[in-house]
Amino acid sequence: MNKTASIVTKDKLGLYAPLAVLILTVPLLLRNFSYGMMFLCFCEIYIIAANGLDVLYGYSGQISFATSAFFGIGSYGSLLIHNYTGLPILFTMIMASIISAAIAMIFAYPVSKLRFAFLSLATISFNYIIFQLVTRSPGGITGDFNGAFTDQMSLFGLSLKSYYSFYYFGLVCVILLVAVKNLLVKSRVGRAFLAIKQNHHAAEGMGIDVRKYKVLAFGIYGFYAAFAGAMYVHLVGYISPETVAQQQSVIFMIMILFGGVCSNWGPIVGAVGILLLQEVLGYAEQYQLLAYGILLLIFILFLPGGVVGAAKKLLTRLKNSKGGAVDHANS
Amino acid sequence: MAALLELKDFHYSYGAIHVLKGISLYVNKGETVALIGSNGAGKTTTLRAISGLIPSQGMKNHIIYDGKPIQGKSGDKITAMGISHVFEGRHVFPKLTIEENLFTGGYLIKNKKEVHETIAKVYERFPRLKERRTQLAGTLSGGEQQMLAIGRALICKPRIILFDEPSLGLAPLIVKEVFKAIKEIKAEGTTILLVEQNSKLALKTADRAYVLKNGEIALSGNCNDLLENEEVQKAYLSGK
Repeated sequence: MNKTASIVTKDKLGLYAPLAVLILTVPLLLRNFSYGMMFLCFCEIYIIAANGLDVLYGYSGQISFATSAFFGIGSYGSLLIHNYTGLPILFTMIMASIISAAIAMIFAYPVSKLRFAFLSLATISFNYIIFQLVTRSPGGITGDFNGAFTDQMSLFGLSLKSYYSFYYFGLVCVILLVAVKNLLVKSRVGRAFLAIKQNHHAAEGMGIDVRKYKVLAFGIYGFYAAFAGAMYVHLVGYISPETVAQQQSVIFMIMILFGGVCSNWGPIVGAVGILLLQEVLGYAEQYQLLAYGILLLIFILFLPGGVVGAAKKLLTRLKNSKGGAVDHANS
Repeated sequence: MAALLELKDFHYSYGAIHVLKGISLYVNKGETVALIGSNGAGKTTTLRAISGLIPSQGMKNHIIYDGKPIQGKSGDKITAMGISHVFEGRHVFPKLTIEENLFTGGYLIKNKKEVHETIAKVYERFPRLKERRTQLAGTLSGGEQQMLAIGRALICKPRIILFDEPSLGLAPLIVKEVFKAIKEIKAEGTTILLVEQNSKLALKTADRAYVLKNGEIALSGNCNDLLENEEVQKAYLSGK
């Protein structure tokens, strides 16, 4: 098995090396185009949240329409902790993410009994609860409908206010969190997630504590979504309650269905693709939801694996037709 | 000798329907016991209750395993105690490869080397699984899936295996192969509780058997005696 793995990486090195160079040098190319840099920073943020949702939905098979709620818990959490205590931003970001993970796990404990349709209803209600809390907060600490301001990103006294410096900070976060996800889903934890998704009775029969892993998946998801939210609030320096709205959660779901679940590239392609689409459709705002609806239908009906899944299928088909001998002999 | 697994006056209802009306049975260590009966007699319900897949309805001391009551424990805990269940209809993980399915079977064993060794043994027993180790389990034939399900149940080195209808929906030739494997497992000393529609085959495989009829044990005894029992012959063995 190790042998095949090393062959694959050698094979892909030709693809990854130029990509890495491009990712590292993109800020130089966009030196006079700060809007483009801002867009890339947003991409990083949404890639992290989409990866969290992929762990939950793609691997453990639990649907959630509450991503923006956890995103919001991260944003408002880090904002409030930082504004009230003045603790360093990276620290408050991590704290808010841990709090969000805990809330997600407490929420998941009773909810893990629910399946697809009822689980989505439960998550939708949760999103509304968080939205209500944010817009009608006790003492108005969240700024209610006006939103709230906080400091922009800085690390160890070093300001990362500009999009260029934030981009590299975000890049480190993306690489770290995607690597952790990758390790996790390839471990026995990941196999337990997949087993539960495919057949939870059989998974239980293998000795897997189904509820424990469903709750754990929610915790990881809560952490990733909140970390992305915390990055967002310290990139922009401001958060409006619209960010926490239910509609935003649907967009996260569309991202991973568009990109494809259960892969490294799926959430990345999905997040970047949908953000690009948002840019394109920015001028026709009232038709955005229509476009998403149509897109979602197309992907659910015709491309269940998303863009990445379809590309993988195409690649194997090309390889098979090249190689000639396909193992259909006994099937 | 104390029985490894024992059911004492066990009742089970699905809502208002009283399915099991006080059945008692035991399986001794190293023994193979068959549970036969017609459709809807309650065979599968019995197995699912033992392995904790259906809720225990508040009763406590009716299922005894290794001297301890296990009723009300969740399925994963019961598996961890050494009871493995080969499900009716196989229930392999269709989108995992054969090898990943087997790894999942070894979930409870933390020692990776040990898992690899047991998987190698399963491959020895079912060479066809080794040939197709990277194939998705959902693309296997019914017989191969059954072998995978059996192999997967063996990985965690259970003390007792519950087989639920291993012949279901399989071609006669494959059924023969599956039962050959069950006999081998039996010969290695693993305790087996076998539920099977094909009564003749079950009686020829097991040491003792219980006949379940409308939720009650109608008959029990040594398989050889049951094979010659007139009532059994008329009700379950005719035409087979």
